[in-house]
Amino acid sequence: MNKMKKDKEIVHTKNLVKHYYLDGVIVKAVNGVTFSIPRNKMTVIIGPSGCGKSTLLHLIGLLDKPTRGKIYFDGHDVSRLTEIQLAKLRLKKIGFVFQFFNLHPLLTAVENVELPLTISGISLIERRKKSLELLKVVGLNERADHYPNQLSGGEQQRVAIARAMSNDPEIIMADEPTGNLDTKSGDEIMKLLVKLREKATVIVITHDQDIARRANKTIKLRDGIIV
Amino acid sequence: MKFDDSLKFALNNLTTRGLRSWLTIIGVIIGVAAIVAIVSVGQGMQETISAELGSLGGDVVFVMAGSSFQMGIGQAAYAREAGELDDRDVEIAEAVEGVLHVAPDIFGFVEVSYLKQNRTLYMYGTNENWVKVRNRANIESGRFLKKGDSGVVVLGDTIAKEAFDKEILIGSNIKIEGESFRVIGILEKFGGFGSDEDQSVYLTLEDAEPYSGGMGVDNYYAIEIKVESERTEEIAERIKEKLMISRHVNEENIDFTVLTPETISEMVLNIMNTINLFLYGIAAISLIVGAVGIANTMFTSVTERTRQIGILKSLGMTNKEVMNLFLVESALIGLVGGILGLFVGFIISGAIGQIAAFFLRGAMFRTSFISITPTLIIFALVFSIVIGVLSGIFPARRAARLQPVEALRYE
Repeated sequence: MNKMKKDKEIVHTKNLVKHYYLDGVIVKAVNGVTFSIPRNKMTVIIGPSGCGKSTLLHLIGLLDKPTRGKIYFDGHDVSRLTEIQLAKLRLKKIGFVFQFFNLHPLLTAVENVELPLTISGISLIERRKKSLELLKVVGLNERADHYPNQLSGGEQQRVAIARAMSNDPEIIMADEPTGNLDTKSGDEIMKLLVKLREKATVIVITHDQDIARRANKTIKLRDGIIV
Repeated sequence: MKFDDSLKFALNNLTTRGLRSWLTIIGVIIGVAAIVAIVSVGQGMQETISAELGSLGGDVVFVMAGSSFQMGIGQAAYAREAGELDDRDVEIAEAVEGVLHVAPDIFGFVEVSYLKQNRTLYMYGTNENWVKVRNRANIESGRFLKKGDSGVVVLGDTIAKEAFDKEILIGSNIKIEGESFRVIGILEKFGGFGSDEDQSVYLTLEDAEPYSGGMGVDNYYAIEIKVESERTEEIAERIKEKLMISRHVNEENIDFTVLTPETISEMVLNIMNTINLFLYGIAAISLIVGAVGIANTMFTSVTERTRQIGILKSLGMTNKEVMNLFLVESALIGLVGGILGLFVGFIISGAIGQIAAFFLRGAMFRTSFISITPTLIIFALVFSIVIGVLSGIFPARRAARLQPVEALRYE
């Protein structure tokens, strides 16, 4: 991969395949996809339910290993990295926003935001300061000490976005971030994500055409292949 | 992740599942308390027995009739068929270099009457040397038996002061098996384990013979020998050699037993160790049950927290860090259980000490029945943490090996 291309693309995949067995039947979730994600832009991966888009996000988010194919981060092949190296990459370079928020139920909003910093070994004073700033950015500084079950869905997702930003990642991956929210909350979340591309590369998985319209790049997926 | 953050995580998880955590901790408390109580009482008993045996004097040698001396001092009397001890044995012992005093003994149980009250009491028949042989035998009032005495008796402290409603004083007359005896001496309190000496009457060999079930003058139950201190073992060995020659026996068919405080100590401590081993076994089982409890709780916890583990892994936590989180948690259960178990163990051993003191209140012990040492405290705490960690290893490994994507999907 030449240098100019590498600078423009943060993620690149080559013939990415993910097959798994479900009740003895082979499921071809991702079936040989090659694409690039441009740096500091918003890319939307769109497709109908069950087309393999979440599996694809898990692969490029380094949460799952491909059956075949390559994934490049900043031009480096990451498909064969060890568990520890993958964990470090997730910690330093990627922030996740999930459809069901996935906040830690025993931690307050601010503790959830600072979780990546806690894992990184940052001191309490430093991480608390940064997390409160991030909660301010998402408009939840008043709710810092509230537990997830004391927050609405939209508020929980905003906490999740703040958490995804806390380690200053290069990429933020959002899997159906508005899928579990009402229209108003979903719109607020999307505004936040669109704004985030100024600081990081944003990848959003959705089946919502309206969201796709706000993207710099759209990848359409059907039955595990790009169409 | 820093250790203090892992600790906070663990505490958070444990307090959230308060009841279950406490039930698990109780399992550990029982195990640790059992071990602490057993060890402290076991050590205390050993120290007490050692002190009591030591008080016999390091310079006293016992020759007992019979060779099957297996179970303790009292057993020798029942195993004395093989060969009785007689005056010739006494003379041989007296002739050994380093021997200072020799007192042959016989014993029996006699009915003692005083002011129309009857008591069945332990009786020693011995000679004037007995009080010189026994280091703790001191005359409180009057005198001990002497050669040529007849119709006189010396009383142990408890017999004189407590056995009858009215205290028996020097010069009083008491009846032994219907015969009248004049009290010529009262011993100072011996105290200590068993305290047979405080609860005995002392007669001359001649006077005691009719009540000793076949034992008597020239047919003794034991010979007690005071030797030069610092040379006890050597002199005991020499006494044994001389007696073997005189009695025409060898190691194969030996018909007497020579005991020193050291050999008695060893024998008693061997018995104590066997009992302790058995008790440790029981305590170990209860601790294993506690450990299984921790493992069970941790497995349940891993299952319940699968999604949380997925979140932590997606945020960049490594397998090792996830494993550490769970190990810290199970170690914490062990530690809390250990600390509380230590206290409960102390309370139990204290209670056992009190009960023992109540039942043996006639005895004055030089040591307590319980022994709580810093080693025991450190051992109990370290051991409980180790148990916690060991019980947590498999659940923690299961948590660590969860694939992030699978864990996140878990409902």
